[in-house]
Amino acid sequence: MNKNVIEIEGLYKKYKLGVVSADTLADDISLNWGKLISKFKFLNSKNEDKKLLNLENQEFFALKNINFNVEKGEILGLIGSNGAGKSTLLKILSKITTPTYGSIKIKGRIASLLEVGTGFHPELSGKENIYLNGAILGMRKLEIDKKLDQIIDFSGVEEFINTPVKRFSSGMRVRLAFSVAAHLDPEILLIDEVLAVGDADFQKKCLDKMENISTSGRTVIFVSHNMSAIRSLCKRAIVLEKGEVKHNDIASVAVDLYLNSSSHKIKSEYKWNLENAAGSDKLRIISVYIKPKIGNLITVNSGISFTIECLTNLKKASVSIGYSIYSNDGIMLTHSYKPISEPKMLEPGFYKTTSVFPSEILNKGIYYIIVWYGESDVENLATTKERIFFEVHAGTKKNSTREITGILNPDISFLTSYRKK
Amino acid sequence: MNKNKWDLVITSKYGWFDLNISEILRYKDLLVLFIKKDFTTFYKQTILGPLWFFIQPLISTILFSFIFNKVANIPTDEIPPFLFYMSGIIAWNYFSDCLTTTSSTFSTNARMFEKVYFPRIIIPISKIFSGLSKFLLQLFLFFIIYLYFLSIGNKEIFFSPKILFLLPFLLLQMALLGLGLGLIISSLTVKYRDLNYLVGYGTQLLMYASPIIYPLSIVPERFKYLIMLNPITPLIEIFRKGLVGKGHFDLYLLIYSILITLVVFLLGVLIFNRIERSFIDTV
Repeated sequence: MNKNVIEIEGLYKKYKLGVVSADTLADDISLNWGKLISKFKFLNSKNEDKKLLNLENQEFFALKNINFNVEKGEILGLIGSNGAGKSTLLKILSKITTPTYGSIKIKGRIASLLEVGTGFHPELSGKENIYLNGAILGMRKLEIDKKLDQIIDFSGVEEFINTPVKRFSSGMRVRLAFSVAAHLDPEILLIDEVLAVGDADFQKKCLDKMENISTSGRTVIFVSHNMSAIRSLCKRAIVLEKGEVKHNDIASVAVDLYLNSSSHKIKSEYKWNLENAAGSDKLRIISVYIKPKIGNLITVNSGISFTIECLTNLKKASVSIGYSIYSNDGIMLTHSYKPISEPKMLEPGFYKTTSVFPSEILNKGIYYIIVWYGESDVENLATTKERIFFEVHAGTKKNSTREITGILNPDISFLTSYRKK
Repeated sequence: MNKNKWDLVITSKYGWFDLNISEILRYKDLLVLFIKKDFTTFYKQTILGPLWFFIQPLISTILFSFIFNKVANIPTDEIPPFLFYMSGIIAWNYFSDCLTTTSSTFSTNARMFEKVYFPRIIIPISKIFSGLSKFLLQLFLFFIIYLYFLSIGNKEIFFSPKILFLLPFLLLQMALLGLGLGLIISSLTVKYRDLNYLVGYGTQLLMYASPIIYPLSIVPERFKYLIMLNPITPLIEIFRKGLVGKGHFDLYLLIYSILITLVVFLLGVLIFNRIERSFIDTV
């Protein structure tokens, strides 16, 4: 008997690069006119025009020949670096966009948590938003009525449930939204990176809920950068790379294959052109350099110096820089931030910040950082899109030649005293 | 039971006529919630609250009576100007509300459409109903004022119960016409943003081509057919005839208007249905 609830066959998704669509009718006419003219010139075979024509017709496959099946009750992990096609795949599965070729067959109701809190209206109360959000996600009113108490209880915001959502903190909003989504009870659930929200307590609640969902026979497709979550929750994982299925294996094997392949992404310099630098016109992150503080190899003992440069157009603002360090598994180890100028004294221009991470904390291994800039601790101005990897090599430990395991390698002292029996 | 039956097959192929009615019905609770949301958020953080539903047509009526009747001396078919303009304005408002609110469907909901799937047409349909609730409130206000005019002994005005019976059909037709036009415009604005600016201006122009500020009876013969080409003209005239007893009722004109409405509506639904699938990749 066929136990598959999802069958994906020969799935392709094509996007056009370059001029996708003109914004105004006039632009469109002139664009088409331009194409026509260049076609004419093309017939007269001029080389420059040939180039122009090819540029306009450039296509890009976000997904290339994806084939896999998902069985009933399975929790499938979906991993891959940014731009590998994970989100595109989820968008097609949840019917937000259509494939270019190929087909997906689905058995049962499918619901997605691509981003929680969609359709929250700030003026409506928490309770009204539960109903609205639930219905947007595909629940019927009767279902929501039945689960209302559970949803409110799970979110932990019962005291504010009749207050407009605009008075909620962002954390409360996310918790309420996740709680609605977690009670959807579809046969197939798509989850994208939601576990990055909320405090540790809430994250644990979410993971428990996910395990619950799977033991009740539902199918989950789970996208995350958190490798330990993938390892512990999923039976099987699929690694996507540049739009193709690279590995389809038992979760722990797939994770290892993925992590090993990420090791050659390690660079000591990350630079971006203004067009693809993270951020907006207000502020863009243009480079990150990673160097040892002492010597020329990052080791447990060397200390690490991060030099981060941004270009800002803001005036008289208060901007802070911060970064988080993650283990290769995707667990956040620490984060820190500091203002880059005196309060309200920022001027347009380049700001270069060097931050030194102390030695003898990180053990040997691969880590990555995510850098961000924020204004007055509230508004996020820029966050690096890719993970910035670096490797810490084994150091020379005083009084010991043995390598220790684990993420941390601090200088722990021991003092033993002896007393006769 | 066939275990290998698929509930949903996603492919790249789709026809022009794949409107999934059962799917829309499945989302009827969402429709109700959207209507409720429109209604409650309309007056949140306003001092006058739901009174705004009444203030707007009242002020327009007073203004129109003053400018077009008192200053420009446009006759109103012997109906008290206040009732003449108000009946025209509330009917027109319903139509233009349907048109303008649905025409921005894609641009105002792009963020939500990027994140979650539901039949997109739920949003424009909900706008039709939120507009209807507003219309009914304004109609209620109209009747109060109507009773006042009766009580001061106005003999020229009377209901036409037979024609008033047509009211639900007139409303349905206005809704379908507004919805159809709105769907076409909303689908085209996905590619051409210019249309957004045209909508406001266009509806204003269309109002002057409809018998809102003048009765059809005073239009010179050689321009009359131009006004009659406008499919909204018979709707307004019949609406007014039902409400205050004076207006132009022409069966052929009504049939013409119904045909136009059906064509516009079907075209709108088809284009909308087509665009909603590829829209996310073009924004």
